[in-house]
Amino acid sequence: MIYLFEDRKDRMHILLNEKINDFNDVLFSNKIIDINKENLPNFFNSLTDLDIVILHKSYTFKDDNITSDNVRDIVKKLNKKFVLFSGGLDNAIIGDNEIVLNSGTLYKNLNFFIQNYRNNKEANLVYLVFNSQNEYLKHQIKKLQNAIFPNLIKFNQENAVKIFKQTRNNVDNYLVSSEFLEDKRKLTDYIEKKIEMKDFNHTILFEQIQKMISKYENN
Amino acid sequence: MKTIKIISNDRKGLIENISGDFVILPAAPEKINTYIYPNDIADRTNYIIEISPDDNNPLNFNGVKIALHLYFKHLQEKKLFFFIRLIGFESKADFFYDCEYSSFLKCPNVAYQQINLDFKINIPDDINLVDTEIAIDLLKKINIKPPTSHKTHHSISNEWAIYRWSQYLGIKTSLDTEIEKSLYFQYLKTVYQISDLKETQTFLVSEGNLLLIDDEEAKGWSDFFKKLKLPSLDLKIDSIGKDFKSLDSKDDIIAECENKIRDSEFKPHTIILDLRLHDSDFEEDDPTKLTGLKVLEKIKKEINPGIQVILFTASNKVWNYQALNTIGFDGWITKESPELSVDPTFTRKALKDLKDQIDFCQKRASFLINISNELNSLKDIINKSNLFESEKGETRKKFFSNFDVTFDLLEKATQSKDFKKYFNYAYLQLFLCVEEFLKFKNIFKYGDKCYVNQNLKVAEKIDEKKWTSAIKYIEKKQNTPSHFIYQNDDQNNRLNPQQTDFKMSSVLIFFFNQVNSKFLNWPNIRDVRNRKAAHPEKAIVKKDEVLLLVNFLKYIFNSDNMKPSEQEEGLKDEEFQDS
Repeated sequence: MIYLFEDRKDRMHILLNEKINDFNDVLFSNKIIDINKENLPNFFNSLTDLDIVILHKSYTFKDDNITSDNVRDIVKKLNKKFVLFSGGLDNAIIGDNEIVLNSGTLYKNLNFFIQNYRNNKEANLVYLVFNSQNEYLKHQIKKLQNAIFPNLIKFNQENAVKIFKQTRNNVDNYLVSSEFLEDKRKLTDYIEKKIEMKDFNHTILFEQIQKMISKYENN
Repeated sequence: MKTIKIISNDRKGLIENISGDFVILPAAPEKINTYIYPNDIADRTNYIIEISPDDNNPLNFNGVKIALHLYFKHLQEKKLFFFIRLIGFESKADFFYDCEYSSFLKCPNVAYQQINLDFKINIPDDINLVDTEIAIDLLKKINIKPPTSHKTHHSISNEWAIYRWSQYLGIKTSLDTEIEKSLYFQYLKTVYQISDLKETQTFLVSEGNLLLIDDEEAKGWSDFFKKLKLPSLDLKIDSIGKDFKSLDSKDDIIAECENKIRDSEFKPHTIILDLRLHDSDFEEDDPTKLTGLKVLEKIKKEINPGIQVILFTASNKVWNYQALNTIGFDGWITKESPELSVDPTFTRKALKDLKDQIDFCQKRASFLINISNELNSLKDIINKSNLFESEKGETRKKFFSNFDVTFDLLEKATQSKDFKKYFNYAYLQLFLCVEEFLKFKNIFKYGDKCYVNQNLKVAEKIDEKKWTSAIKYIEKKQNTPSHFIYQNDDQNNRLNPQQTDFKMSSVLIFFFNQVNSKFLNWPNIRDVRNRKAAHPEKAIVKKDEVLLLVNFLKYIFNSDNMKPSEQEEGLKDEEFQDS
């Protein structure tokens, strides 16, 4: 279950087009954090169905001593996912099982995120940042580019095995969406083969990757 | 010429062979987000900037935002020999497609280079000057986004107004650092530069006490108003609002405002009032629910309507004006939001208007506050006075309503020179109370025999033209105005006991035990009524003359002042019984 702690209900309704009730099966938005700081861990412990906490950065807690960081720490300790949102934020910050993002982005993408949560029974917070599957695929590609291209540029015969292996691992790690399955298999097979044959042509590898990327760019 | 390379640690190897200084961006994404630019920039600088240094979310294109900040700073500081070279792994076409601010590439001295296997950067020997006008035109087309939250947007407008107005006046005020460093704010500073318009003549000239009520007071406004006055001026400025965020409810905020306004240490003449004082006001669409409006209502309806209130708001929405107009306010200042800066003359006009409004309000405030207090004390006197007991219940209400109308007329009279005649109308309105008072049964009774205090005969008709009276009219002599004295006057054919002067003089002498009717300047009051107030085309009643009349009313309406004479008597009358 997703617990949304938002005290600006008007904004929520406006940005969600009054659709909050469509999410009733997976999202609970009426709970209020109205306890003292010392009871905060118990408060979250008692939410036995908790998967994700989505908290407004300037949430008005009944106890002034509570901060959004306190909530974050408790949620993380419980191994649950944490989302912090605020109207004043510009860029989304994607961390490990947590995300900080703009309120407008959150409400724009909430529907897309919830659909994935319902269908896959898995909460992929990144879906809150991107409002379409295509954008999410692009995000993975950019991450892959950042990870492998600097290595390929530094390529020489001495580091060839290492760079090819790293590239294969990166392709494997960064392209996680099912849409990539086929291309990913072809690419990793190709790299494996080249490692096996000790045939290291980084220019061709670079072109192969670029070719795959261009397939998903600007679709 | 200098080269600065702004890049993440993981990718710095890509440009290691290019001579220049590295600025290595922090690895943590939240730190890249807060990284802005080196404090000092120099002319003749080449920048090489990685577009996506955030590995967790490369689509943020933080590098482009850093580049924009630098571009803005160079234009603001007029260091126009610089070049920004963006580098990234995507093709130029992909960059245009993916980055929301990619039109930045159209600006002069900005280029993009894709990093590929042949990646090599050639730094030219010289840099062309950036044409500011062209650059600003193109920057406007990038469509830098303002913040999405209403409150943050409001804060930006607020900071923008402080920044803009302070710059214009050449005064220094502190700005909210977080907002000042935002991309949107820097964009505004760049495209709406005002350095050429600087003016130092717009300072307040009025005296008295000025109170600012604004939740953003500590974010520069308090400083701004304090610096807006000349140091030599006896104008005291105070402000409240910075702790409003810690108060739970709107009622707490309203109570704090009321305490401050009623505070005997600092009695404000004019209040500059922001309408949105509580967090919830930023989401409020109904103007009647705004905390500032409740404070306005409290001031005008409960504290003192003479206190001048200038509404100070970031909104120029018409609905605000309509809702507030029903309560009444004395001025309106719109904080200069970025949209308004499109008009290059707006700042000058807005500041002149702000100064004029404050000076105008301060000038009229003392009189209106004083007169409102005086009229209120008149109401208190009437409530306690036995003299009104003999009259119908509505009489008191009728008098109160008369005072309210008088105040409204005086408010109008102080609005502009064109409305000066309203001083006369106000005087006539107030004088009606004298005339009404003289109609009270136990005050004066007119007939062939006239009585004061029900049984003290002061005049008797002898024939069609002649009267005998217990008081005698003394014509004006040199500096002494005409008046009545306690002395019998037989068979006077010029006497008219129906006149207000005769009635009032009789009341003063026999009811309040005075030796003549000069008491409390009655002859002057009478003359102002007849010679000035009734003829606005010839003369205008002065504020002091209004106060003199109020003072007179305060005396005669107070039953404690009633001292019917024991020694002095009216006309002897064998047939004493009233008929």
